[in-house]
Amino acid sequence: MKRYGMHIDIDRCNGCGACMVACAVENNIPPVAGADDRKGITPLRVYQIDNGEAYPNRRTAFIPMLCQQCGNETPCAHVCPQQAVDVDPETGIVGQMAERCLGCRYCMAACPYHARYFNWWDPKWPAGMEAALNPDVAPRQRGVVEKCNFCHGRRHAAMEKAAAAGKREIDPADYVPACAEACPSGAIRFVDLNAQAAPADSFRLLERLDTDPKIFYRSKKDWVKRNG
Amino acid sequence: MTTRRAAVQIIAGAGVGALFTPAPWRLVRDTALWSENWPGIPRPKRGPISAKTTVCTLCPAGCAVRARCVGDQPVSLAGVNGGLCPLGVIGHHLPYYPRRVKQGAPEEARAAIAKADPTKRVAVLDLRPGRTASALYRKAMKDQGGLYLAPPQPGASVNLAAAKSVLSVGAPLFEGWLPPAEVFAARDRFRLVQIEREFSRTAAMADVWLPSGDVAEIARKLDGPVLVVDRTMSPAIVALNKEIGGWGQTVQAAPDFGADDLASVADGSIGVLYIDESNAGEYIPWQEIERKLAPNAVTVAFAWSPDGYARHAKFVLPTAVFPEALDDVDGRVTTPLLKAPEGVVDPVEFIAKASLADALKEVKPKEDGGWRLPYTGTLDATASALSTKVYQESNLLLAPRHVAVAPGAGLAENDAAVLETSRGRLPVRVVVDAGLPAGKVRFLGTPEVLDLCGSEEPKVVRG
Repeated sequence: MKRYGMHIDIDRCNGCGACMVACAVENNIPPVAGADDRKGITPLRVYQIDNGEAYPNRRTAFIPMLCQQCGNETPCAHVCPQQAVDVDPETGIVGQMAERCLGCRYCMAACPYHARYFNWWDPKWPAGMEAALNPDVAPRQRGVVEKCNFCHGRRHAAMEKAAAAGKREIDPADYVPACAEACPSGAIRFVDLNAQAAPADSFRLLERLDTDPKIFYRSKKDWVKRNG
Repeated sequence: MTTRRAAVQIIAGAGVGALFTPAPWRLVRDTALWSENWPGIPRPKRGPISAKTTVCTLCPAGCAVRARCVGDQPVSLAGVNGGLCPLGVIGHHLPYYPRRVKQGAPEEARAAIAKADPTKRVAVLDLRPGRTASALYRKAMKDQGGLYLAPPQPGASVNLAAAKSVLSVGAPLFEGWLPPAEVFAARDRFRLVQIEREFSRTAAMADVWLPSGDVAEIARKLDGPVLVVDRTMSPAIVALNKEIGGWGQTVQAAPDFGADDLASVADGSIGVLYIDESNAGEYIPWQEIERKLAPNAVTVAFAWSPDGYARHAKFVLPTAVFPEALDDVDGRVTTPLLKAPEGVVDPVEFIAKASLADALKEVKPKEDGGWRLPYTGTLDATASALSTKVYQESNLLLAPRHVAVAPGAGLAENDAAVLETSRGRLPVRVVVDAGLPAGKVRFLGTPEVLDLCGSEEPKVVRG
């Protein structure tokens, strides 16, 4: 039994955005000319936060925000009328089945982390770029909700590799989501929380909601912790 | 005789009866499946999965890259020794850049060059000196009595891994100045003091940020070995490193690329100018080049993107782009992952009449002593359609033609404004950033902005 999650060190994130771009590449998220920060699909989005002061006392930090993979009373799973959201008991991953989704967006309203995105456009790529799509992830049609699923295509590929080798368990090195792999600063670490508990000084976003999120953040800066 | 009542009963009965058959449910399901498979939805290519390794040539860092391929087509890139920068992650999309230069007129360019004024000089501007191609250009120019030009390079190489303390005077240490994975891998081993007027991303990751300070005094107080850096490794900073004992330990002389100094070239003396822009590098504002050109000079830009010198050159010849191009970085030769399209021109063959492939066979890997020449150019983050994630669908980077100003400048968020210098004006959109000091303007160093600014500090005025 796994309990996949992430340890994110905010102090190491420089907001380069490699994780966001890698996520889009991995999940075949199409580029859209008209997409903005409200309508774009960014299952992982890096937000810039600040301490609210003016220069020269202003301080900024970057927080990678993705589906927090709530383990307790998962809000999006509760409200979905289509049962398009499920929580895998084997891994704790909150999955999203685009095939079942009817696009009502109840889950978006229910998500306290704003980590779900509605697909407003048909998937289109610049001429020829379709050849560079990831074969492990099917492009989704417009009218469905999308979210981070810890790169399920990579997990399935790792499971297939393990099965081919006659193993029941996947090798942790074979299953790393694209964002964690791309992060040049090592700020994002993908872990099995059952094997690697979060450091004692880490915190979770909106912990008071008691949804048991599996993304653990760290920072030595007090103002960052207060914002979190 | 069928009555009206009977007809209604038959229709209603058929409707109710149909609900007890699989037909309507199959119809609903098949309609749903059909709607999920519109002909317009692309289907990813299937095929055998393999991994290939190459070297990223999008900046001089030359990160080792592992490409996941379906058949011969790369579908994702990852760093071998740590993560990549955002542009490296989408490097395999560059061949599909919608605005890519695809056609040129090489024969017409050759004819124009043959007719050029023989009393004027031939020159090559190589944006990425230090490669095997650069050596071939240099030799060709030497043979022809021409000039081999390159953008100004940093004044010294640095060894970050050897430093215990780093004093940075505005150097963008964590923003592509050094190979990203290397600098982050070394991060826990050095203490960083950033002296910079603006609270930059590097300042945000520093142990101490100072808007200003006495650099020499602070450097002497830090635990050694100390590395003092600024963006260009200026002579004053190099001298300070020597004074505090860092020479040979954390700082050493930059490699000599044997380039001629553009500033010392006589105005109006160049009759033919080749510009190899197939790889990104430091951009020299066009005005500085233009004044060195003779009237009716022939300018030939070898480029895959139309946004740089291609805007100014008389002839623009398309080139291969990473990951199609054969090239080398620091003694490591790339393995092209894709075949270059028909019509691209090999700048080495065109300019130096030599075979780069043959020359690359002689390249030997260099011993890695940890010395790195900082990269002071700009990465063209807009080159992939997916780059919008970092500037359009989030506020991580400034979008092209956007400038950031401090509050109180009389401009509001998203106002139309004009970036103004003595050289001209450029319409821009405003981003208000409370982290900027009053009067400071932050902008993306795209060629059109660099052409406008040169070494001038631009002003932003209401548009």
